Amino acid sequence: MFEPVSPQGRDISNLFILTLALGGLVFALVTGLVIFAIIRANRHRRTAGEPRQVSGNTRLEIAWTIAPAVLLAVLFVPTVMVMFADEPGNPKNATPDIEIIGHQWWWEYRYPNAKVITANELHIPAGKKLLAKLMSSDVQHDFWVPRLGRKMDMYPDQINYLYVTADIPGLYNGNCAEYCGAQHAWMLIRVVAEPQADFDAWLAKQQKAPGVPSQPPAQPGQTAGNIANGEKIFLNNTCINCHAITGTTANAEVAPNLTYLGLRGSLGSGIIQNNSANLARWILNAKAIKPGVLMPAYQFSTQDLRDLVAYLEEQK
Amino acid sequence: MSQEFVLVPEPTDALPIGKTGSLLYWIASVDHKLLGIMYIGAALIFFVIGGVEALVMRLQLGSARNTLLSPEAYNQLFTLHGTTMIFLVFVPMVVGFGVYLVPLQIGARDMAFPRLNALGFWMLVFGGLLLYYSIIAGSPPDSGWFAHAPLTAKQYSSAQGVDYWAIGLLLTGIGTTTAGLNFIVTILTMRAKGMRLLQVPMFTWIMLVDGFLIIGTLPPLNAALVMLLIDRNLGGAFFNPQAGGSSILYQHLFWVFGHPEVYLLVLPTFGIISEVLPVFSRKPLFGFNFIAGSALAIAFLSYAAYAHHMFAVGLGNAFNAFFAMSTALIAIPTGVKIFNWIATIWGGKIRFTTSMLFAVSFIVLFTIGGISGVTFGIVPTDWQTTDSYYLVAHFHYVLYGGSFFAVMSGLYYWFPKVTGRMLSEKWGKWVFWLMFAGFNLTFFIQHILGLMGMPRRVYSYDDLPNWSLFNLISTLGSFLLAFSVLLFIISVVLALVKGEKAPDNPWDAWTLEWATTSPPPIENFEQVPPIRGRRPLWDLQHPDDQDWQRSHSGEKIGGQPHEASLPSEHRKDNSQ
Amino acid sequence: MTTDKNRLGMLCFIATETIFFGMLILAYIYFQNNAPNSGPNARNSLNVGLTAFFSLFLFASSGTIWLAERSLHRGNQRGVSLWLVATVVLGLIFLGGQGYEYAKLIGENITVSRNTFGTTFFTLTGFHGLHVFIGLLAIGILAGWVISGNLKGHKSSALGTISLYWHFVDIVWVLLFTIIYLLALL
Ligand code: HEA
Ligand code: HEA
Ligand code: HEC
Ligand code: CUA
Ligand SMILES: [Cu+2]
Repeated sequence: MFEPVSPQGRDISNLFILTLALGGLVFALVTGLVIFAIIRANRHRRTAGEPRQVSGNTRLEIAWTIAPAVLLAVLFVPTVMVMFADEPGNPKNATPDIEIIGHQWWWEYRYPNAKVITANELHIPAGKKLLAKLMSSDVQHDFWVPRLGRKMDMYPDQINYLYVTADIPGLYNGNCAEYCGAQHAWMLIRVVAEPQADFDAWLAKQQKAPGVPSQPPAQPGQTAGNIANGEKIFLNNTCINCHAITGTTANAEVAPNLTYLGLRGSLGSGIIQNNSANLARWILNAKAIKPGVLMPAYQFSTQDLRDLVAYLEEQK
Repeated sequence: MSQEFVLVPEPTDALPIGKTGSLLYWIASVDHKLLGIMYIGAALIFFVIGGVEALVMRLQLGSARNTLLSPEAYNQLFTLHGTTMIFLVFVPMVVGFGVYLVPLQIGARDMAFPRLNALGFWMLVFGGLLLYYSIIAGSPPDSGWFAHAPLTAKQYSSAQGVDYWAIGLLLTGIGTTTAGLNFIVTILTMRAKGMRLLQVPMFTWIMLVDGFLIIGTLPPLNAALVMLLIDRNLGGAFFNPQAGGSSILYQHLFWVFGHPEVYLLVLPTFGIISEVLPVFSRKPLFGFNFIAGSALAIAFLSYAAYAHHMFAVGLGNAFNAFFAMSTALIAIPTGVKIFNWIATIWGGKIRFTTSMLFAVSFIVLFTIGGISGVTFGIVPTDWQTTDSYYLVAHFHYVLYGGSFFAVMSGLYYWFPKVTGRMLSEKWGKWVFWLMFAGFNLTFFIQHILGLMGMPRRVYSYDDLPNWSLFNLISTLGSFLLAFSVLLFIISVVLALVKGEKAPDNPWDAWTLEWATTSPPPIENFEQVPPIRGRRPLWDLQHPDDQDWQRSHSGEKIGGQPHEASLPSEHRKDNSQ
Repeated sequence: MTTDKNRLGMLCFIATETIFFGMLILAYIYFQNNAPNSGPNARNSLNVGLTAFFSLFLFASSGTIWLAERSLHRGNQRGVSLWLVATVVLGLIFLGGQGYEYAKLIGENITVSRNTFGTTFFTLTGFHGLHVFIGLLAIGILAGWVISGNLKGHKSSALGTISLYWHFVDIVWVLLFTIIYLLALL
């Protein structure tokens, strides 16, 4: 169940299977008894007179009070064990490996030790048990990646902690699991678990400013965007009121950090794939793609848009 | 024997106003039977509204990345759907059953406070109208049926929808509270002479417990709503983190209401089942005292279990472990009921009327919902499954497969009494089987969707393997379900127009409501039969096999009256 | 066990009100303990002495309504109306005191929207004041009936029922006064 890839996830999955198995037994018992009672009744159907007027049996009552109680008591033991194994509680002194901040409707990820801030795509080293600190900047959200294990709520007025582990490298999808307004549906989570070396390389790259990426060789039949001009457009527009890119004057934190945007798989927290055409559509009218989104629409000339898109997409 | 008939006291309240059947007659009525019918009628109307909302939602969810609805519209729909179904369908439904049946079952003329009864009904109606007026005003609420803070704060929900929602619920809440109070007083003070408290029919007993549950459960909701309104309209700080408030306080207040609320809804349906199963098995209810006691246990435990809706909030292991335990405990008294019902039909002579079909399938479907409920009580599995479609499946199994099937059973059972007409059994079988199929088709697969990772309250989802297919199956099922509801409505209309006339006691049942005409006269009874046990009509029909002359196992124990049916001194006073 | 349905109904009503107030009180205590405010709070903003003085009137009114009931049982019609009017007057003085307190606080810019103390304080005392007001209306109407002779003759349970309510409103104030005012002195 859930195809878990973390110890926490496996604990829960096993517990769930156990519960379902016992529950299945109870269900089979109840259904079996009902069916059997009906069959028996069918046999008696033709006999005349009223059936025997039985109205109770104290011994039976005791039996079917005690039996479920025992069953539940047995289940309670592993329940508490898994609870204590997988709940970090509120570790006072530990510094979290990652900080996850929910926003309407996107994710902010911080690596406090490396002083890296990124958005919408969480990179983690595979096989390591990480401690994540969960917060929200506005309303309630909830971090849920089914294959990694449990979900955990995020509040503006309470800090929660969660273990994040993926034993096997890969891409793990999740969702915001607490209703948070218009675009709760498209607040998807992408977790990229990679071997430690790859992760280290990724993190090191994030720490460096992308600067102005070099102009890629022009494709035949396509007009390439002018990257240097793209940077100017970005910095001279209101983009910088909300977004940040490392090494530039853009340092606002109310919207996803766009540093190395070209490395990410999706835009708009998962609603569209990350490619140049989609990015151009997004910038012109994000609301048309993700109704209710808190990013305004822009008007750019075709060339300016091309330049801006190239600047953002070539950061990789 | 016949000298022992007890006279029902003369009515002291005003007789109905207006010509029988006229609009005024209904609106100005304080008669519990008319109010009961109006409660149930309003519930059915709202059920169709809430159901159509669900159908539109299911249409939107029928395929991945569907663009039929805007996210705002979808969010408004599930908020209205949930609020409608809980507060405007189920509450008036069970209250309606209670208001109609309790006075009849205890041999009384009316409820203790007829005027209050009417007030409660109209407050509920106005609360519902206010909620729906928000559509006309242009801003239906969109915060979900439990409206967690701080999404409801002014800065995140600036439209008036939340205010309509809160004021509407406040009105219905106060209306329901008056009904609860009325049940308590009626059942405690207005029983026919000679009927002892533990001799009332199970449905009535459960309405007494439910009365206490109602008056204990709604005040926290009212308090939460008042605080929310103060926050939104007077700039209060209760739930607003920016001003020092606490969003988690709201959750505590809401769920200390919200959890007992679901038992408040389900208990009366347990009562219905406890009336229907014995009659169609030709046996008394098995383990009356245990079913009665377990209802009390469920009512008490429901308060202790409220925070199982908050396992993912991050309140710590000690806190969660406590509520895990109390949640598990609730399964025990519920199981007691389930097993007693099975024992009731065991060895009986079962008549598979439509009512009985619904009642028996209730046992099975409710058990499915109950067991998925228990998996939520296992805290770590809740951490995976909370707020997913697995949860949506859970509560539709307990609310629809459980409670609503019981309500259908009750509607088929008492329809002849209430209207004086029989509902067609032929149509009834179709309604049942289509509803059974449609229901399971719609909701069983949602368990799997939830386990695959589909969160609830999403207007749209990515095109992942099988997601579209499973959602489509659920959507198709919901239309089958709707079709069965449509058939039911048509068969009700047909029965009212040209249905077969119903005899006074078509099912050969044993409680007092069947001792009067169908439909009952305005004063309910001229006289009620003597009450020695829990089945007065059985005792009347079987002078030599009285309930109180029999042991639990069905053996004759001679003239010794059953422990719970000793003749009281009242009877001596009354028997001439 | 009481079998008078009005009394029983009132007891049920009081039960719901108890829980309602209980929730508001919990909210108040929650914020007192969990979110200490800078700025106005119970300790630095409330005049305990003055409120204690006005509270005496409310407590006294519980006594007068009891006297009214006693007069009814003794068939002393004049006594009933006298004590009922006294109850109304005492209640009004209490409300006046509360009005004065509110005016002073609002003058110091302590309002519902100031901070969690303001919100919880005004909600809690405001709802209590509303209950006092409703009680006074009921008692006033009752007094009117008694004076105009409408209550004479048939033994009405109205007075008993209303006085139950009035004692409840009083007890709530004892609690509120303790929690909001006296605990602030500690
Ligand atoms: C009629 C309404 C109803 C009923 C009766 C129940 C019954 C139960 N519910 Fe359910 N519940 C809801 C309506 C209801 N629920 C709703 C509406 C929600 C969602 C709210 C929202 O978020 O929107 C919800 C959510 C909900 C949650 C929160 C999930 C979450 O948000 O994370 C939990 C957690 O514990 C839970 C548990 C239970 C349990 C243990 C029972 C038990 O009472 C079930 C007991 C019954 C049985 C177990 C079956 C019969 C017993 C036996 C045959 C005996 C033997 C059995 C065993 C030993 C297992 N429910
Ligand atoms: C008693 C309670 C109850 C009932 C009966 C139902 C009934 C149904 N529910 Fe609902 N549901 C809830 C209570 C209930 N629900 C609650 C509390 C929520 C949570 C809301 C929230 O998250 O805030 C919810 C949420 C909910 C969701 C999840 C939404 C989301 O999270 O995004 C879905 C999705 O499939 C759904 C579907 C349905 C369907 C298909 C039915 C069907 O069974 C409906 C069947 C009925 C009809 C279809 C009526 C048909 C009638 C006609 C067609 C008649 C034609 C007209 C005339 C003759 C005039 N419900
Ligand atoms: C008012 C604030 C605001 C302004 C101004 C703004 N954005 Fe955004 N932007 C956002 C928000 C909020 C999001 C997250 C949307 C979501 O996913 O819900 C976002 C998302 C994005 C994304 C997708 C990021 C991702 O990882 O999914 C890109 C790219 C982007 N903006 C580019 C721009 C550009 C280029 C400009 C200027 C031309 C700009 N934004 C101006 C608020 C803003
Ligand atoms: Cu964020 Cu839902
Ligand atoms: Cu619950």
